[in-house]
Amino acid sequence: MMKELLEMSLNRPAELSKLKAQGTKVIGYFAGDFIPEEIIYAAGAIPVCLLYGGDNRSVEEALAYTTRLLCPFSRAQIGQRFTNEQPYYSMIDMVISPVSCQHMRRVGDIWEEFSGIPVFKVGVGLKQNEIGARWYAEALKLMQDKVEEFTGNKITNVKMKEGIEIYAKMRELLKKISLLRKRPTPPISTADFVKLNHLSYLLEPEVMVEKLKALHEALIMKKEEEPNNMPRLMVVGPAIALGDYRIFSLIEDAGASVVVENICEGVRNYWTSIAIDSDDFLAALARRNIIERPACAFMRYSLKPSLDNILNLVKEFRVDGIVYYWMKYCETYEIEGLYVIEKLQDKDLPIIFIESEYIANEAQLMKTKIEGLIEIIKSKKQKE
Amino acid sequence: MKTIGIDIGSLASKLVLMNGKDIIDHRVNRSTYDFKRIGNNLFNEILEQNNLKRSDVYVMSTGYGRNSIDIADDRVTEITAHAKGVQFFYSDAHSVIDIGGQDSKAILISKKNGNVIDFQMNDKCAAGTGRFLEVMANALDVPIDKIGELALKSNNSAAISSTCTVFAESEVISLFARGTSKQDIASGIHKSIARRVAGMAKRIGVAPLLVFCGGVAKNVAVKKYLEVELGFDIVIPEYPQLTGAIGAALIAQEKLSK
Repeated sequence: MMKELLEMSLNRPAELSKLKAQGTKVIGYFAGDFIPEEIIYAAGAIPVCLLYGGDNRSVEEALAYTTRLLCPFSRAQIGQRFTNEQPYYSMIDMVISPVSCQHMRRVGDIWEEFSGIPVFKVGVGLKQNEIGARWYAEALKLMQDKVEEFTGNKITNVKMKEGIEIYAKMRELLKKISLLRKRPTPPISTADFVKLNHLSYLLEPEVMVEKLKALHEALIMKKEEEPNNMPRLMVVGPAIALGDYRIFSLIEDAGASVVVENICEGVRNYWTSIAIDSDDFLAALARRNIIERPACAFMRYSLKPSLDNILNLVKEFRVDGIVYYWMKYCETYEIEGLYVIEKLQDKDLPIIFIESEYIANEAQLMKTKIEGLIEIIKSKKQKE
Repeated sequence: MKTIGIDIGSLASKLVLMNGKDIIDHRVNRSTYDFKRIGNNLFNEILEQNNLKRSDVYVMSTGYGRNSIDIADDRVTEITAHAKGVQFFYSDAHSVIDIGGQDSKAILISKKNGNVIDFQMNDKCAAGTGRFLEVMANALDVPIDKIGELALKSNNSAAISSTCTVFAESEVISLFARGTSKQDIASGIHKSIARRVAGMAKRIGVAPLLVFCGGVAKNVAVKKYLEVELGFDIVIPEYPQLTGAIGAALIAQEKLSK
């Protein structure tokens, strides 16, 4: 199934080219889950999330346009436009950029300056309350107007509802599959699961729903394996890029199993469902993204909610240890991580920090840290 | 059965032959780019001189190059190895600071059972490592084993603000040009290492008894300035460079006795 989906993602650009030739607009947007695909979908355009990364070339390429102090994930989103390694970055007709953390918002600025295509920015409310949600809903209204104008299609209530329903279904299925990893031996690896998440940002939602349904059924039918007794780890971090799967393979090679991810294009997006109680769809989207969903580290009140969220996942997935994986220069996550570490010390939960700038020779140090963590967990279990 | 702990560091390779609690023999040599060869050479040398065969010993490797050598029966990270090794010298050790050639680390040991509770490592930067000292000794034209004593002669250490090796080197050169004495510059260099490492160690809450090990523990000035930065006295074991290898040999014994 994974292979089939990966192949589909490789064929997707050619498919999009055909649709473009027929007049359909392809609208890119940057990661962080603050640009609702639902709105783009409802306007009859095709949403494509730009989230490739993990190799150093695009990160270095970006230095021609910006400073080293942008996190490597953000720099990759700039560099990709110019390296032409991923066709998505050159085939989009317009890009929508969230004004979220200091790094992501600069990506929008730089695309505006150098990409030559229209860039539209969506302000993201910092406060996780009604005021923040209302403010963000207004930004979404501006986005909706812009998308309508750009595509020439009016967004009707019917289309909007359709969009919300199909994406809600997709996230619900992702969550169902995610929860299967609570088993003593997870039927799907977290590396594969994160890939599934990533592909859901590129492929057609209808196709994705159909495939996820089939996968979920197949995984449920799969016989429960003997418990593997491997240490169960959680990977926490900001956005993990499509292609940046080294952290998962290093952990698996060291003899542990990642049982849950707590990242933007992962738990934080599929965990909370959307509540629709009126025709004010934008307000519903805003409430979900700002108030109800696990907070992002750049938001006003993120420390305590993030800690609670981590502790909840630790309990639900019976996590033995945490790998904090963050992008170099991502100060919001580093600060949040230091707070979390401080609070977790009383809980006797081993935790390590791993920093990446998408450089090949980082692997040796990462490996030592991961193996050190596993040795701590194993010696703890032996004494118990 | 006798055990061998072999610690392949980025700058030095260390090997210890142990029988129970006794260190029978040990070797230290400079690591080359070829970890495998240096490991094999040390290993064969120690077997030969102690009239041992390969089958007489169990080998545990550790350190940066632990996966690069094929003579090892098993491997362990330098984090667990150092924690075990320092407890060989000080059974009540609670914290470890290890400054090696390419990285530095701080380790917290459980008072309850001697296990590692937490650790920190510096991230891919030479500042606060043995390599930093080497580059600085070179810039000052002072032998590496004399630079610590020289630093302690200073009454007025120069401020070395930069912690990046490359920039610190140019800072040293400009201090020279301004006529600052070698000893004052040397003192500033050592303080900058101590500040950086102590900052990392405080993050995990190190406390006495703290054992300072790794090749840089042989440097008297780093020890003294670390004590100033941390606010308490620290101890250095008899063989500071060998704690990783000793720890690995001891872990091998534990494994065999199970």
